[in-house]
Amino acid sequence: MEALFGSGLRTEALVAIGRLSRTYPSEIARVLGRRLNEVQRAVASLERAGAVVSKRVGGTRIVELNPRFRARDELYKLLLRMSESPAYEKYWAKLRRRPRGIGKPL
Amino acid sequence: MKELALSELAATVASHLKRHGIDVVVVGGSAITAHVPDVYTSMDIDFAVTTGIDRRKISRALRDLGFHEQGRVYASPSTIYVLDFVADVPHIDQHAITEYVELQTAAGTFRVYRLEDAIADRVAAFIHWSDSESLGVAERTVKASKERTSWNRIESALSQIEILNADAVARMELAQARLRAAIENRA
Repeated sequence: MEALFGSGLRTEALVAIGRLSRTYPSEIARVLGRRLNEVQRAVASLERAGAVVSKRVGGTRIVELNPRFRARDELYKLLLRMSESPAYEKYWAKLRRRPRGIGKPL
Repeated sequence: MKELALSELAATVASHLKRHGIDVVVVGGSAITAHVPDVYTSMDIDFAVTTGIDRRKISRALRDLGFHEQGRVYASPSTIYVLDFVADVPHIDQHAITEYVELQTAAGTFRVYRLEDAIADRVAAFIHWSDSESLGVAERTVKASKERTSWNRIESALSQIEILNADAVARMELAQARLRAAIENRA
């Protein structure tokens, strides 16, 4: 399953984009324990394939599944399911993504 | 106060505020800690103030206990926990939560979310922000408290969460499958 979407890293990056919903390359790199430049290359390749889109917001490039990709909802479901497999779940089991109020200590 | 557990401190603060005409309920992650201390350790106690938030009044009352404002929270050198007053009537999405349970501690009693609402509150964080940590906490809470609850009660609490799109439907299905497996001993 690890090379289902072309290569191990491409697959991992796509599963991460599905699991995290809206994310950015440095978050994907941190979560997967990969180098930023290799994640950026994988994201660019997924973008060329039409599966994801990215846009710059301030200084950050936001990445998400392409809402105009024909099988986008089915792809999301598949990625969510894959993200629960033992190979991937360790990446997000303890990942906090809910907001924290300004002034609240970490 | 250094030795007080989160629930004991919550009871101390709640009783003290009550004497000042301020009614509070413990919500958020601290509600999970109050119900199942071994599952999740919150370092802040989130209170909803059901009599309405009046920060000046709260500050005055908390001063007697040694708490002072530190940004948006209240801290005291005599405890590791900070206090945060986050809402008046607590909500899970658009659904106002008005039923609470009272927990008993050595330091007195305090009101807190029902166990199932505390679980639904964590699941909502997964639905809306893809916060996998919250889903894990909800799952461990169900596992640790399955003798005290039922799938019907959990499902009913989850129905308060707003499901606004296909992604949220998929995340809710995943959350329900994991919680159900946890209560049925399959996880």
